[in-house]
Amino acid sequence: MIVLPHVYLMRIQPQSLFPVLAFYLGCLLPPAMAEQQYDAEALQRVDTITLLPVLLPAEIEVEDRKQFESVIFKELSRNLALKGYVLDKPRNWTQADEWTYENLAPMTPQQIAALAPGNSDYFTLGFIHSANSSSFVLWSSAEASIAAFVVERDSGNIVWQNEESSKYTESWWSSPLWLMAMTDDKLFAVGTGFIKLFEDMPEKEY
Amino acid sequence: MNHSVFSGQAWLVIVMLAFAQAGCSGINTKRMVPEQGERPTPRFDYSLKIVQPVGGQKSVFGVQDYVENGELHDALMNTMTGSGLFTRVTDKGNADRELHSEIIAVAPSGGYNMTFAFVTQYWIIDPATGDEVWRKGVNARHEVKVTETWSGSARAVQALEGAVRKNLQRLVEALSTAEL
Repeated sequence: MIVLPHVYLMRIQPQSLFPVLAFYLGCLLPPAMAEQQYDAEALQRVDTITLLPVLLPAEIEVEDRKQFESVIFKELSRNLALKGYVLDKPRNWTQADEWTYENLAPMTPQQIAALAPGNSDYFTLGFIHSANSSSFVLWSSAEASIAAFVVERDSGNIVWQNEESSKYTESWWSSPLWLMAMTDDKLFAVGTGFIKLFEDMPEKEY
Repeated sequence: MNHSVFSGQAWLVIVMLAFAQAGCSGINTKRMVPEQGERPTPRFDYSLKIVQPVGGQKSVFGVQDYVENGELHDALMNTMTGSGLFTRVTDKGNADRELHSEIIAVAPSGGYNMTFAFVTQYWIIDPATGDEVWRKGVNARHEVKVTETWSGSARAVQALEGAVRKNLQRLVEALSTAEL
């Protein structure tokens, strides 16, 4: 999926560059460990999906966390919108203190559904399980493990889920040095993973 | 002997004109308004106030990738007035019902063929009670193929305008069967 390269290249923030590179790199990356599961019939009944905040482990640094949250939320809404789903933001809902990765990751979908906004029929859950990078003078790489779910609030049933392990590498012979310096490898690994995550999600039929 | 139709200078002019056209492409709220037939007798015995939408953003210079609140407001005003569903449509003063809207997502995709998804939430409030009497979320997508428009920038604008137009068309359709 090409993501309007010129749109993103116009922006100065380095994180805005990742969808462009992600597309080109996506063609080169090895097949990801994808495990998409969905209930096709239930998915067609989905009308409005409420977008809930993405969950990240506490070990992810504050600086990375802000970038991840912003980029992933944007990618989540972009991908679901392009698949034809109606989206909404949580209304009359405040994020409870227990709405953290550490608390929610071990919970069952039914338990999580009890914390979701009361007026949402379906909601998204996005997890970044890990995002690590290693860097050398002329070479750097990052790996991320991510997952996303669409859950029916009333029943707590998962109507769609997928997970990805994505890797991003760059070196002086594949990227100009200035680009290497500008790009955030972890962000690119997470962003690339999120783009791949939704690739095979069934479109909403009208 | 060179039988080229265009000389080098002609190609240069064509390329420059293409860039100029791309740079000048901008969103036009009139093209966001769906075509509607003759205005029927109002379906609702209410006047409607269009409240300024929220959630819009300015596009980056030279690239149309989002919709501003004012642009959606203008398109909503023209669409609801043209729909003839309400006795009067205004954006000032008081009215029997208020139409609120929020842009949830404006999603681009594509290279040669450009697609935009435009996702909104609409809700109507009875100002007398403050109650929300109706709500509808709409997602509309529109694709413009490279064969339709050569310029990438113009293609993006047309895809975005088309997505908004379809979105507003669905709003009118939903209101045509709604109970307020």
